[in-house]
Amino acid sequence: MTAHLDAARWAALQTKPDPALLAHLAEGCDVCDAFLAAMPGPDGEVDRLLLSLAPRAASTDELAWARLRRYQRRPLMRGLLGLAAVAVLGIAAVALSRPAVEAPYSGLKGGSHGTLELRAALKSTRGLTPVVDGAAVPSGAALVFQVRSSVAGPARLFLQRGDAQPVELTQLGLVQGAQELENGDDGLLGFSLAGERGPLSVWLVAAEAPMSVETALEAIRAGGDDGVVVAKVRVDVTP
Amino acid sequence: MTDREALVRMLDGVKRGDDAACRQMYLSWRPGVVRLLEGFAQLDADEREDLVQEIFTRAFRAVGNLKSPDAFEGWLYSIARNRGLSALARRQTRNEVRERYVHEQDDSAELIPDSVRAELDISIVRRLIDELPEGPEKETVKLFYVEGELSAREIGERMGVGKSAVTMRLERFRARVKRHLMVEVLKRRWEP
Repeated sequence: MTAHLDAARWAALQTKPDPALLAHLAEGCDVCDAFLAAMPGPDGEVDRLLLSLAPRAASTDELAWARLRRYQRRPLMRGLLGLAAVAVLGIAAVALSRPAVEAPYSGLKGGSHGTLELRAALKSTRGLTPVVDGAAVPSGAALVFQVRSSVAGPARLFLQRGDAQPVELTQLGLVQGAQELENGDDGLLGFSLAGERGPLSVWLVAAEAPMSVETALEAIRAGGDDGVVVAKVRVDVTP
Repeated sequence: MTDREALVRMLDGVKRGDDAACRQMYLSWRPGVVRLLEGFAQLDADEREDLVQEIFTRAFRAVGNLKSPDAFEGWLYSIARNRGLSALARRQTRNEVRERYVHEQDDSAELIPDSVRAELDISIVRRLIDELPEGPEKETVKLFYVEGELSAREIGERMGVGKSAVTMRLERFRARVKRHLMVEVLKRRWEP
């Protein structure tokens, strides 16, 4: 009986034919289908074929086109306002990022390395103020987090008080690119500093595949691991 | 002018930022993109509409990266699917994302060699549908992809099942089609 696909067998199949495995796949297998569904692949072509079963006429929705054009002008305005704000306040956000953690080439497109940046900002009624890494922040404030990630997948957020063992705050899903950490449908993920004192580190651990708490903690200790990237931001909470 | 020549001309126009070309792309492919997003039963109509805007904005910016015009439609649908999955990932923070993570790979359409793409047609998909055993999965697939009118949510209401059940059935069938395509590509690779 042919074993089901896994990452190693799939990677090997890219470089060496395996007639038994190909025959197994050709027969159809729900387990292997589930594995392949999560792999990078010709998803766009799959959708193109499926959607061509019921072809659709071109849209005549000119209103939707006008909305799109209006939507596309918005980022420019936001960018200009943002630049003006930075110039006036003289605030520059400093990101602390871990360098890419290079893993052995797996043969899979996208690889198992990545980059991750974590920034913190103080949330107040006046809005968000970027926090320089290691800066003193007042107890009673709340932190929110911004991330830039080359990894799409699950992530775990940890809090470390001084040199103590990091404790997990929450689990998240990251997408590639810049994003604010959100807590489901509840909006921005905020962390209250009420009751905190002294140095705090917030760690974000991300991977392309699910990982255990132990794996994430090991990655924090090691500064990253195969397929796992780590970033942190530090603050010093003052009364 | 052939369809392909018209497509190439449109893509060139979009690369230059030509408004008429962008409008043509948007109006021509909006229905397919909307239909694709209707397969994400967790998304409501407003969320889908927001995503359509994101998808075309991204497509207009990134069309210069497209290596082959023949891959355009699959490439656009890759962006659409990835945006849809990203939207779900932002909402599903704890359990589901851990089990099913998102691949952000807009160039996935170009994983299929042009020679294989040219031979792909919907008869393959029709055969795979025919091979499904009679039952709820086959009915769901036919309602969504063949009849092509109802959204995943509406199919759930009609069949009296939850929206996640409909999404799961559609995803399971998509996985079969994907596996079929990936095996085809691999077979071609090892053919003498």
